[in-house]
Amino acid sequence: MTELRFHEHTLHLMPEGAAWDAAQRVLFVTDLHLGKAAVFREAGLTLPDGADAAILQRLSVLAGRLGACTLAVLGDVFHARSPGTERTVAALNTWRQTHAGLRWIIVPGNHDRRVPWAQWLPDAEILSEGELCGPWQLAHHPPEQSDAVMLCGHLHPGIAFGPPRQRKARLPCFWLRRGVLILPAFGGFTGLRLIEREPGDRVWVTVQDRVAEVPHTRRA
Amino acid sequence: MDQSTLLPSMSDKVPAALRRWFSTRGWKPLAFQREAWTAYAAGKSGLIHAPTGLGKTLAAWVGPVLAHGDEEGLRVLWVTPLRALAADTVRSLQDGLDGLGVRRKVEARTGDTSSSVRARQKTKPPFALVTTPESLSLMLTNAERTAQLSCLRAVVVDEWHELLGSKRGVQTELCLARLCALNPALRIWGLSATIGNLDDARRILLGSRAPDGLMIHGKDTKRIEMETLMPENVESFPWSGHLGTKLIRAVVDRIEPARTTLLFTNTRSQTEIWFQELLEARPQWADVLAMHHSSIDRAEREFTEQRLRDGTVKCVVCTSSLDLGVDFSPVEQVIQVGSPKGIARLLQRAGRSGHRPGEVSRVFCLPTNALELIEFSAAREAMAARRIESRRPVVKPLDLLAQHLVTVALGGGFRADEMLAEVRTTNAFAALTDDEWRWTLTFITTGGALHAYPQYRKVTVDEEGIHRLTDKVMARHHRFSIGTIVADAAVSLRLKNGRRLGSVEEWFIAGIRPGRCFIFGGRTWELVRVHGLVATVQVPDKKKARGEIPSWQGSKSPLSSELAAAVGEKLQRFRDGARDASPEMQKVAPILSTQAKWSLVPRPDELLIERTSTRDGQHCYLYPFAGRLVNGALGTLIAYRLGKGQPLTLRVTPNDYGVELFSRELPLLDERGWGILLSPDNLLEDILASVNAAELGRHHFREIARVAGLILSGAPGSPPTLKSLQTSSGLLWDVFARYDPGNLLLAQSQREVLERQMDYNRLSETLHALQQRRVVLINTPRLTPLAFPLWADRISHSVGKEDPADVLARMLEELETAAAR
Repeated sequence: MTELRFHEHTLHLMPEGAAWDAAQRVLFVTDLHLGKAAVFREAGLTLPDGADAAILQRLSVLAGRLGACTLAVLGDVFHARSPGTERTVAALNTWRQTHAGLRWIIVPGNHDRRVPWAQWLPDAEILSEGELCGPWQLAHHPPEQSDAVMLCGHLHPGIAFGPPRQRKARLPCFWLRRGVLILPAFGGFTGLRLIEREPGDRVWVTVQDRVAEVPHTRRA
Repeated sequence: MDQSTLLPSMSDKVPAALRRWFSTRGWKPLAFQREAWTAYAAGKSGLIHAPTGLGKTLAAWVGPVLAHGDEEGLRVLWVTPLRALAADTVRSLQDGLDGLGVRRKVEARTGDTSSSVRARQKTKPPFALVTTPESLSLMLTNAERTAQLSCLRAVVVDEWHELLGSKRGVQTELCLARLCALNPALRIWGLSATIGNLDDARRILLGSRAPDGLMIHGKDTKRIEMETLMPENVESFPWSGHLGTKLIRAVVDRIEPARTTLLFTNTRSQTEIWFQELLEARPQWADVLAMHHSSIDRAEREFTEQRLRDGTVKCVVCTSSLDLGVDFSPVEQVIQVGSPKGIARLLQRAGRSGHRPGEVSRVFCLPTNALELIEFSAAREAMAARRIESRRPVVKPLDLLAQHLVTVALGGGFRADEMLAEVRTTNAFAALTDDEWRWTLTFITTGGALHAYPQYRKVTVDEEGIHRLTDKVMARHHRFSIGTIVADAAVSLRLKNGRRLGSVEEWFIAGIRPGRCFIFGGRTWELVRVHGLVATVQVPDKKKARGEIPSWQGSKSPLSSELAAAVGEKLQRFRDGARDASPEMQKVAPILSTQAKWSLVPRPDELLIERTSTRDGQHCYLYPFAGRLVNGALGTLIAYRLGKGQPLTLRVTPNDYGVELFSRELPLLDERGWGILLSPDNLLEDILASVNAAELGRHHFREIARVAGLILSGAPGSPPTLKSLQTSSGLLWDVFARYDPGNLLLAQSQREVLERQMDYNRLSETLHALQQRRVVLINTPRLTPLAFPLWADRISHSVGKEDPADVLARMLEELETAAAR
């Protein structure tokens, strides 16, 4: 766990790929892409189920261990609005019943902006891009820069490691760029996009169950 | 079916037309042609084997024309492996129809055929369609088309040896099984160049028609003249890349007087290097020098091919992308740079020149290191004796079976039991187990283990038990993803105006900073930016420093078993002191003498293991002569087995002859110890453990996922909904591995990657063969001529403080001084 200080506020980067505000007891995650495999199956692509259940299981463990009161999702809770997702919605609501004390805040993303939230996830609070949650500004799409600290998703950021001119290992990462903290995708079937790092950017990855900062030694 | 049309009476009128046509051309029917025509008329199927340019096409074509020329409808399907060949084939087949006075048409049906032409072909079918395996599959996805194909009289598969041994061959097998099931009287014919296992080729092509199918041989009278460009000084110590472009003068002198030359290299990078060198040596050739390799944009390549036909190009520097191909009749000579790696390949490349019957094919070979002289000499003898490589057929690719089943489900549907019987008539799936069949069928219907695939649907079973695919969107996706050719993840190179130049591998471009230059397609480009899989480049402003030459992975093929065996015989002859008159062997003799003096020139029944020390550490050199992939896998296997006893850091460097094991401290082993290390017992287990097969399988999964229909290829104009269905194959692999680890496609991926990356079958054969060979252990005082190239390869690939070139030069000097003593 790595502590990040922004003025008097503290944020913890969790090895599970989430951010934790201990003062407010808010857990931030992004890009769950629930129901992705189901959308594929609907289209005739033979993909097995199981990723959704694994995401919810990881959320249970993390929220339980930390004693989170609020779960804030920075967009793309669902992969798509399609008939195949309804089963996923039911599963998610069953899960929410067993975690009845957990308040949900959602900033809808590009994948789930057409989702009928009131119908699918009754009593989840829906924020629009840039609204505040305590000291933190939340958005799905990361802006170029931000004066107040902003937490975002959408990019599925990742970096590549390995010897030059060879196949590299790719790891999801946290990416802090000009006041914007972009969280890695929390979903298990999401993939990642390599970031173009600039001087001054800070990057963290999960290595052996702890979050470590990647020094900016390699050329961008 | 009207049986009378199947056995036409050879009325006097028709052979007369044939005789007339042949005599106007000044041709005489060859014995094998007549044999093929008679067999066709008798309703038989068969494989015609003859070298290129000997009238193979006519042998297969005249029969069907004589028999069905006066019938209506589509009668013949001509399958060709290259769609670039289709246009030329249409021309030459049409020529035959015209010559025989049949007023019908031959048309192409490939990925290039427009939809209006395709529609017209449906309503007004030509006599014959020239197509590719992919387009044939695509036709089978259409019920109306399938009905039309069921009235075919004959299918001819051209260049079958090219398809055999690949998944495209299996795709052809499956399509032919389909057509045979639709039409029990269908005749199957094939054309093949010489390969080592012709009878397998015949049996596999003909499938259910094999038992009474014929093998027809054309007399191989092709004369091939092969000459090696002899380096003036053969350095005693051969090292890859050491000779080669030093001989540029001699090459220029060869190219100068000839009208057209094809200069074949073994890798795309070598092509770029040679192109540059030639241009530097003869700047005035800028307009008549061209380059052809598979990473260059298709339009560019086709332009070069057209210039070859027109004879407006003097020399094309190329790779195997021009092995096959159009009748380049103006090609006067062929130059082969470096080892041809195989006898069939050299024969085929040589055959690109002097293409017409009766002409002599000329090939000049250029060694890039001294040991290649042995290979050239060995290849000449093997070529003269026509000792050609076999093609190992692909067995049980379930990804392709799944694709084919969806194809048939679209093109009219199938019953499970009938389809199983049909599929089992192919060689590829003859041994398909009931479990594998059920798994594949489930994969396309309900997905798999029931709980893991809720809401999945694709192929459905109707009340009559017929499997069909009715969903229009899925049908469209399937049609777009038919085929088995999957390109590597490549970065497309474009100019700012969007013009495409070709593609390079992702890791190459990742190593170049924007603003830096590199060489591609014979020109220097400056990298502007890379965005996703598109790299934008521009012409550099001023003369910048020499660019880097891109190198592409997986473009080196290993020395074939047949050529390796021929090399082994050459060495044996040297060892036995037998005379060898070939100029190459005389040239290389001093090197072999040094090898004999310091160590041993191994015989085929021996396994030579040299051990030596340098100040860097200890080296072991094994010479199984089994090709680069197998030698490398052997090294990895030995390292793994040694490491089980004690922790050990060991570097493995293979080439086609042997493998170097290098470590600070290597354990001393006797013959018995080596025997244990080289045992074929537990081979698969140890190999899987030694190479992290899961990771390899994950990389390879892209191809399987595409073929099995798990990845939608970006079809032009695809709807935006497709975006939510895009994913990477690595991610798919992870999802399967985690939530459905029993998925048979995962196992297939591992199997295929072992076969491709380490030639697994050959590895296993090699280990068994090594059991019969006598291990000869020799401690050598220094690196021997056989060892030096391996040592040099490792040094030149490792990054150290010292320039590798300096280290090499110093070692070379020391060794040459020692050899001269």
